[in-house]
Amino acid sequence: MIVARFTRPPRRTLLSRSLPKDRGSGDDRYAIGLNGRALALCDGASEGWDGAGWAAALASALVRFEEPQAAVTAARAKRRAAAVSGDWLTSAAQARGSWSTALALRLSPDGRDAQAAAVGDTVLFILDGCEPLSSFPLDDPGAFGSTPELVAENGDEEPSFRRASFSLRGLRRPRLALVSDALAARALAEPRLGRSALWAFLLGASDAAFKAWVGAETDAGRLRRDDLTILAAL
Amino acid sequence: MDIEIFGSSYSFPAIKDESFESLQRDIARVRETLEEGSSERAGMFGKKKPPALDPERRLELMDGLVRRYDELLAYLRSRIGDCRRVFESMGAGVRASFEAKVRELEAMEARRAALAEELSAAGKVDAAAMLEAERERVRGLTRNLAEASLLIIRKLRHTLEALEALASDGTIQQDTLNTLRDDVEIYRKVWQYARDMNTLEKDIDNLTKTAMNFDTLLKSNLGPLGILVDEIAKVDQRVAESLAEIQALSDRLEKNQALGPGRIPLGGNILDLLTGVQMKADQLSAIMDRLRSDADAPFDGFELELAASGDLDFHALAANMSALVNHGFQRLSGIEPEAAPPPRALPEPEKAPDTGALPAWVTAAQGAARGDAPRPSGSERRTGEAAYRASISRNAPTLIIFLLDRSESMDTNYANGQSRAAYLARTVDKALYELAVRCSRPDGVRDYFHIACLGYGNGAVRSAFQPGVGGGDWSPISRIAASPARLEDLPGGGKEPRWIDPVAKGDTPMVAAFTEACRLAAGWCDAHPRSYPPTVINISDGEATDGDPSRAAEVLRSLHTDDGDILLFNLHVGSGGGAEVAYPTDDRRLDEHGRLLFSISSRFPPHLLPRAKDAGYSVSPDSRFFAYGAGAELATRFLELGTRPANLR
Repeated sequence: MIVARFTRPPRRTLLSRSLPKDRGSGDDRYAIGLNGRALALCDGASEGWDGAGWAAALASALVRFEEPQAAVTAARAKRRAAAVSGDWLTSAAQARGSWSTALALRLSPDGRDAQAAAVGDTVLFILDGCEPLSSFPLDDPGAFGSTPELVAENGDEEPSFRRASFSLRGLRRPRLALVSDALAARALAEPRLGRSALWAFLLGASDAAFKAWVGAETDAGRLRRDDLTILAAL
Repeated sequence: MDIEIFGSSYSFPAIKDESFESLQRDIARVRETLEEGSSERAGMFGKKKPPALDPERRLELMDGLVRRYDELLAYLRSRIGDCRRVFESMGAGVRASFEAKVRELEAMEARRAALAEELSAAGKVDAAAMLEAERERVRGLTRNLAEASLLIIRKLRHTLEALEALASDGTIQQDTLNTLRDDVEIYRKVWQYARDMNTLEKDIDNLTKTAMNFDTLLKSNLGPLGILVDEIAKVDQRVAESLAEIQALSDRLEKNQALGPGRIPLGGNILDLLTGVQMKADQLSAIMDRLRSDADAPFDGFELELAASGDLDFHALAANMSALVNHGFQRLSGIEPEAAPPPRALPEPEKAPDTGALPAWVTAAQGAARGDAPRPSGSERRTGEAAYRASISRNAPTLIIFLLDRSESMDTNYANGQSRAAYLARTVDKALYELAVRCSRPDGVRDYFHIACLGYGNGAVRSAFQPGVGGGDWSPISRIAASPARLEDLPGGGKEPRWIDPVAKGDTPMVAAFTEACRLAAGWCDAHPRSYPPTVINISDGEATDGDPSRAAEVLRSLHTDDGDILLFNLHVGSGGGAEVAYPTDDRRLDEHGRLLFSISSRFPPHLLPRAKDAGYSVSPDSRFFAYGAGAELATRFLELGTRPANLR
C-alpha cells in the first residue's frame, strides 16, 4: 500500500494498493497527474504481447490529456516509436499487439466535481466515507464477463469511451476509488449491509491483512484470481 | 483488573476470590503448556521454545483441563447471582453517565445558539457562520455518545447471557462441555492409533532389514557351503539371473526406506490400476517386464505419496500387491504363473469391438477413467458447466495433441491445387505459430501450452515434427517456438516458421494413433492434475485401417484432469463444397464413417460455444466438435477454434 499526500488545494491523500495474481508485477498500471487531480487505472490483457507496458503508456497519457481519445493516440505513437525489431516471433507478437482497459478520472480544481471516462471493466466507485454511493461504468457484479471491451495498442480504431460526470457537493467525506475488475466485482457482490465494512477494510487494512483476506476470498470462490489494484483519492 | 466507564470504576469482587483466581491460573498454565508444546521450533532471537509434548503427557493435561473447566462451571453456578448484580450495576452506571453527558451537550448547544445570536446581533456574520458548523459537531457527539453507551450495554447483556447459559444445566452448556470431552476422546484414539502404527512400522522395518541381510544370515548358517553358493552363481545362468532380480528388489526396498514411511515409487496410472481393478495375468506380466527392464525408474518415474491418497481402495491394493508378489515368486522359482481370474473384472462395454492388441495399461486407464480408481490427488473431476474453468498459466499449462493422418490418400489435391497433406501441414504450422505468438512476451515465451504432434501412416505412429524440433512425448511451446525446422520467406516480406513436412504414404493406423495419444495423455494428466485437460485434434481423410477406433477413443475421452475430461476433436477433410458438415448435433447427414467419427467426438465444451457462434456457426451444447468433408477454409477455422481454450492467464 502506498499513501501520498498532496498539500496544494484541493488537499488529497491518495492510496494505492496492488496485489498481482502471481510472480512479477502483474498487468495493472496506474498514473497520477495534476497534483493528484487526475488519476488513471488501466488493466493490461494477459494475452497480449505486453499488456503491462501498454497499460502503463495508456495510463500515463490519460492523466496528461484531458480528452481520452487524444491520450490513446499519443500512447500509440509513443509505443510505435519505442518498438524494437526482433526475430520472427517478436515481430509477430508485436504486430499482434497488446490490449488494456482504461479508466480516467479528473477532478475539478476545487475538488467538488469529477469527470470519468472508461473502456472495459475497470470501475470507479464514489463513496461517502466508507459508504459506496455509485459506480461507473459497471454496477452489476454479473456484468463482468471474460471478454471486456479493450483499447488496442495497434491500429487506428477509436475506442468508444463511456463518460460520466459526478458532483461531490453535499457529500460529507467524498472518496473516489478506481478498482480493477475482479475486486470491483467482489465489492459489487457484497450485500448492502456489509458494504461499508468492506470498504473500510479495503481502504484501511494493512498489506498483510489485505493479502490474507484475498487468499481466503479466492479459496472460498468469492474472488476471482486476478491482479488486484485499488487507486483511491481519500 | 477493574473496568472504567465514563470515569467510574467497576470491579468483580463478588465473584473474584482466591479459589476463582487459583482455578483461572491453573487453566491458563495448562493451556499455555499445551500451546507451547504443540510444536518444536526456535523462538524469537533463536531462543529455544519448549520441546513438543509427549502425546501421553498431552492427553493427561487435556484431561486435567476438562476437570478444571468442570470445577470452574460449578463455581460459576454458585456465584451467578453475584455476577448478575455486578453487570446490572455497570449497566445502571452507563445509563446514568449517558444521561449526565446528554445534559452537558444540551447545555453546550444552548450556549452555542446564544453565542451565535449574539455575534449576529453584533454584525459579525462570518463568526456566526462558523458557530453554525459547531451545531453539526454537537449533533455528531450526541450520536457517538448514544452509540457508545448502547454498545457497552449490548456487550454486557451478551456476556451475561453467555455466563447464564454456562451456569445453567441447559443443553447449550452440556453441549459445550461434551464437545471438549469429545475432542479429548478423539485425540486419545488418534494417539493410540499412531502408537500402534509406529509399532507396526517398526516390525515391518525390522523384517525389511532382515530380508536385506538374509543372504548373509543364510550363508553364515551354511558354513563353508556359503562360499560355494557365491561361486555357483558366477557360472550358472539361471542362478545368476535370480541374483540379478534379488539385487533389483533389494535396491527398490532400499529406495523405499529412503523415501520414508508410507511412500512407494509407483506411477499414478499404475497405482490406479493396482487400486482400481484386480489385474489379469497379462497385465501382471507387463508390469513385471517393466520392473525388470527399468529398475531405476519403474513406471514412468513418478513418485506417489500413498499417505495423501485418503480414498485408496485398500482391499484392491492389498490383493493386487499380493498377486504381484506371488507372481514374482512363481517367476523366480521357474513356475509358470497362473492366470488368476479377477474377482472384480473390468466390465466389458455393451458392444465389444475388435480392438486388436490394445496394451494392458490402456484397459487399466479405462478402468481408472470409469471411476473404478479414484485419482491419487483425492479431488473430484469437474463435469458439465463446472468443467473447463481452470485458468491456463505457467504453473498450470494445458496440452494440445495433434494427430495427423499421413496415409497415401492425403496426397489428394484440394480445389486450391495443394495436396491435403501439404495444406494441413501448413494449417498445423499456422496453429503452432499462433500459439507461440499468443504466449510470447517481452521477457520470453511463457509455457502456457505443451504440444505433441503425432503422425500416423505407413504402419506406424511417430512424431510429426521434423528431427530437432521438440523432444520427448510433448514439448513446451517455448521449445517449439525456438526450434522451427526452417523459416520460409513470405511473399510480402517477413518470415514464417515451418515445423511439419507433408507426408502421404501407406495405410491409416488410427487405432494405434489413439492408443499412443492415450499413453501420452494419461502420463500428462497424472503430472498436471489441476490443469485444463488436454485437447486432442485428430485430422484425417479416411477410415482407420487397423480396426475400429471407438474403444481407444472412448478411453481417450474419459481420461481427465480435475478440471474435466480430455477433449477429442475430429476433423475429417474432404473436398469441401456442399458436402461439408460442421459441428453437427446428430449424425443424420453423415455416411457410416462420418457417423463413427461423430460418435467418438467430444461434445462442444460450453466455453467455446460463444466463440463458435461469433464465428458464424450454428452450435448448441449438443453439437459435437467434429467436421466432416471439410474443405481448406473450414479446416483452418476448425483448428483456430480448437486451439483456443479459454482462461489464458
